[in-house]
Amino acid sequence: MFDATLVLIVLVAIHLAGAVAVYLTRQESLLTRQLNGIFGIAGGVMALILALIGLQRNLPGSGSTVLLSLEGVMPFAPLEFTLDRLSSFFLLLIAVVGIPVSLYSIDYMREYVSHPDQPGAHAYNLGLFGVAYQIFILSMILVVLASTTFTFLFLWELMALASYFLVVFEHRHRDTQEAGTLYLIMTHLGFVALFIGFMLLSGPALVGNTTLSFSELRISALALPSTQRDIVFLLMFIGFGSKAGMIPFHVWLPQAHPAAPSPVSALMSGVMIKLGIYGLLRITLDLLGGGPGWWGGLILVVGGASALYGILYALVDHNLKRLLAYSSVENAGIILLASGAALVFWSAGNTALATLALVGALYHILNHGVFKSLLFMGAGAVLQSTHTLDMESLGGLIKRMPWTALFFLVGSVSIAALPPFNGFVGEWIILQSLLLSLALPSQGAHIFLTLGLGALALTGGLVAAAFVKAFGISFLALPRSAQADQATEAPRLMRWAMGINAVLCLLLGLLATLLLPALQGISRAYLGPDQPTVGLAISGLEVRTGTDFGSLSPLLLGILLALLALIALWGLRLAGINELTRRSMTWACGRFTLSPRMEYTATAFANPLKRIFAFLYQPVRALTIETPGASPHFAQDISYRNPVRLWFEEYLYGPVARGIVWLARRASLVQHGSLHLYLTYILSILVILLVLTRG
Amino acid sequence: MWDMIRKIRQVGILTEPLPPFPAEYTQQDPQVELVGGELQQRTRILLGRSLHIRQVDAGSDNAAELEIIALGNPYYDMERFGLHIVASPRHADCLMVTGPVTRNMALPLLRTYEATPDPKIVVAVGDAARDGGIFRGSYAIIGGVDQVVPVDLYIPGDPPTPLELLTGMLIALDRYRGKSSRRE
Amino acid sequence: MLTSDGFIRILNLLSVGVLVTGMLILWRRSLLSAVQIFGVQSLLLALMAVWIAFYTGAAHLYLIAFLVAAIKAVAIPVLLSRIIRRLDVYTEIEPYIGVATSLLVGAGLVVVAYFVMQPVADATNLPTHNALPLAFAMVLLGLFITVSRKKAVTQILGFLVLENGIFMLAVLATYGVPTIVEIGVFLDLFVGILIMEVLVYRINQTFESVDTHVLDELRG
Repeated sequence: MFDATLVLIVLVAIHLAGAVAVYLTRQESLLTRQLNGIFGIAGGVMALILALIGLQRNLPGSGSTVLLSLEGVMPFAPLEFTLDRLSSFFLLLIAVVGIPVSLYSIDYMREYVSHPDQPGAHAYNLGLFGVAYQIFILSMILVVLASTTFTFLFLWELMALASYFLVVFEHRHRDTQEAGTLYLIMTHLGFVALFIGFMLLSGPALVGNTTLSFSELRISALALPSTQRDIVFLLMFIGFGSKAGMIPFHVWLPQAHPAAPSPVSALMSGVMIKLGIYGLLRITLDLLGGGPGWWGGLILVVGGASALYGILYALVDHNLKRLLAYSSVENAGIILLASGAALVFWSAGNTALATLALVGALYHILNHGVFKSLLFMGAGAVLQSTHTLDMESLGGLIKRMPWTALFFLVGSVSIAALPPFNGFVGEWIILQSLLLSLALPSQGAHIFLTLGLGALALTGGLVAAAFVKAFGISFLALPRSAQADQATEAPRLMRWAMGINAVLCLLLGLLATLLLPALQGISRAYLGPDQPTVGLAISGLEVRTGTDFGSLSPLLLGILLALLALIALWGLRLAGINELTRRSMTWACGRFTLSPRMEYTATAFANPLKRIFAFLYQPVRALTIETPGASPHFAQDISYRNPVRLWFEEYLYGPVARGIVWLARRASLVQHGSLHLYLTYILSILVILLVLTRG
Repeated sequence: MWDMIRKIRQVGILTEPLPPFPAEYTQQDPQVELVGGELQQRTRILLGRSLHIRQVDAGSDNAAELEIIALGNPYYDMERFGLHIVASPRHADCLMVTGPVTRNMALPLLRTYEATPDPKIVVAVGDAARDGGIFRGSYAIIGGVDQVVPVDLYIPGDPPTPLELLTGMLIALDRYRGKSSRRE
Repeated sequence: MLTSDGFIRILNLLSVGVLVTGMLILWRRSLLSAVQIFGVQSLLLALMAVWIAFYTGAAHLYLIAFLVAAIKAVAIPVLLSRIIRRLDVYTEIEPYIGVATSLLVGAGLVVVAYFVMQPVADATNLPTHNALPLAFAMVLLGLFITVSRKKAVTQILGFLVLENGIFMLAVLATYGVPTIVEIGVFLDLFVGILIMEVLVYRINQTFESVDTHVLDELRG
């Protein structure tokens, strides 16, 4: 129907034209934001078309076709773009998240137009935002299509830089600058690992060859000695893992996500960190073509640890967006866990289970993209309306922002993996694959996979707790501050954008059976046909795993749940519950009024878990009571702080950073600043060198 | 652990056996047993469980409270008769209000009444709860409990004895039955 | 026509003269006299160029000798003297390294230059090979003047001495680099001095001193 190459060219043209057009408009105007949104949506639609073309194709193998090969755009290497099933899937993710977020950004970014009352207070350059935004989306789209080493690395770096500029958009805040710097450092550490990894992967093909297309790499990777393959895998794991937010490279996420404007947080968390997973899958499944069992085991263990660590810190963080960022660490962990399990199964020769696990991982990638961007958009709506993300000063928003509250609730329920929403289906498949792992002969694999199963189950429970906190404390009860009290509903386009994602959450849950065959196709393209038994069978509305192991029919389940709810309501009505309902004030121990100070706080909500996991958090309890008078009973000011220990920041990054600063200080002794001293250095070095090299 | 085991072995058992128990200690007041037994039967039939009581002190001098607390001691032990004091009006079937209603406690009393789910009965305990009792006419009080919330039963006395309270609750149960049956 | 022996003797004499003027710059604290000594040094260099041109018949060296005399012996000393007068800074009051020590270090540098250049001088059979270490010593001396003196004017002077050393090396070793390069260097030098003049003036205005150590304050 459409020519894929043409679609790609149009897509690139749209985003580039968008970048230029947005920059040329007057920045205060509505037009700037509208253009940015419209070009973003148009590009997203093109990406969607491209994704559908790629997924629909019935080509054998991975179904790859070279779309575009550009010589001479870059001086020393051609750019080449290839569409295959894996990239189509990630294109789908980018499109599905990108379109609503672009829509959302139109109304959201008006936050940054200078207000007549306080000129320049929140005003930032929206033109530059548009440029970075368009390039960011474009680079993400192109990076999954890139099929030469140079193209991939170039676009990867472009993506990192564009997102950096988006993170530091509110550059006047010191926190934002620091978050941006941290992000820049972490992403470049990852990039270094990737760069070395790709060079090592190229092996002998590297010499005199600047193209290094992926098809060449596939061949050269086979010839590599196994030690070198292991090193390549480790480097790639670190490089892509740092982008995906796995521990211990996750530290930038909780900093960068709250600092960035909400549409950017939504894109980064919903899409960009998934591209780390894309890279890992591309390398392990495609370019390296699988590896020894310990590769998968490592990914699985680190993924499980990330999932637990992420959600445990999400529980005790009371900044709404930082909570979501930690939850992204957790979800990246789940995806890594499933991908690792797939690799373990594959290396054990059980492609049936590998397919099952990989389908679960891919489906969770899409699901997380949808609900996490929804949640970030919800958090953005809260931020725009109340100007705070601190949950301890929110509350009562469900009355003031009913739509936002509903959509945030849908996102929370989805992320907590409750049926009939999408999170449930993905995690169900992953759990099934882990439960079926007993079919493997190896005892060692059993232990790892069972541990993974435990981690996943525990994570699932903690996620529910974390999002009960996020939704309950932020949206229910009474507002805890004047800003929250004066909150108003989000503007129309923002509501629409969130609504689209909320509906998608439900549809991806109910109609999972429509999309799963495509994911199965992707998995089989790399893993081969199912053996020894069937891993995943999709028939009609039903998903079956293993041989008569488990089955799920999301649509029927959804209908059943709805029916049960209707029956319950009908029964209650029949019992005459409505006439008996008597409304009275919430019981407040007989006090005259209800005050927000009586409410359950986020800190209090998290405290039981904080105690249970005290060995991890090692919370510091700092209570200071100021009593200016003679009596200790008349406290004027009580402050209570209960910070948790950030292990990696404290014991890994802290010492490294201090070491670097120490070295820099030693080095700065030489740099006295005196011109004469520098000249003396030149003179002495000159004389010494001359004397040494004499003869 | 070894320290503890060694100590157990070395020290041995130090407690003494109980002296023989005098017979009069175990004697029950036949009246209390009679009223209580009736109460227990009725609560069983009426509710299938205990009657849950929330006690509200609306400004009492604590005389009535002392008697109510006495109901809980081992001699009366009202829980065996199906009377159970609860900590929140949300759980209560019955409000047991004592004392004259002071101006400060009027609104909290009303709130408590509103917070108690239907069907519910209000029992005013003591003379002061009926009409202010010895505090009648004070500027600080509004008057009896019925000035604020509708009262189903007055148990007079300043303060009423535990046995009077138990007898009163027997009548209160009838009122409760009347209310809950009207509902159906 | 002179014998080659006579040529070499006079060449060596001129070279030693240049070196002596370099040491004199190191010795004198008065800025004006240092500038004048520099003029003398440049004049000696010009003479040397003329002498070599006369002996070897390299005609372009006459032009270069003229340029050296005009720019380095006349124009630059005049410019520097103007700065000195305008800034009212006449003496290098407190150099980083005292005069006596400076002279010792200067002597040491000459030894180093001989030590370093000996293989080069031995390897060539140019008639000028004895003077090559002296030229290199001038380069080191120039650098040393720049390092050890505080006043910006003296530092410019050190740079010029260094440049003189390079020029001398070029003239002695290869009978002068191509004319066009040489002219370019002179132009560069002249413009450089003009810029430095402005810069020194600005430094004086900003910091009320031409002591370059006050510039340390600029470091981060």
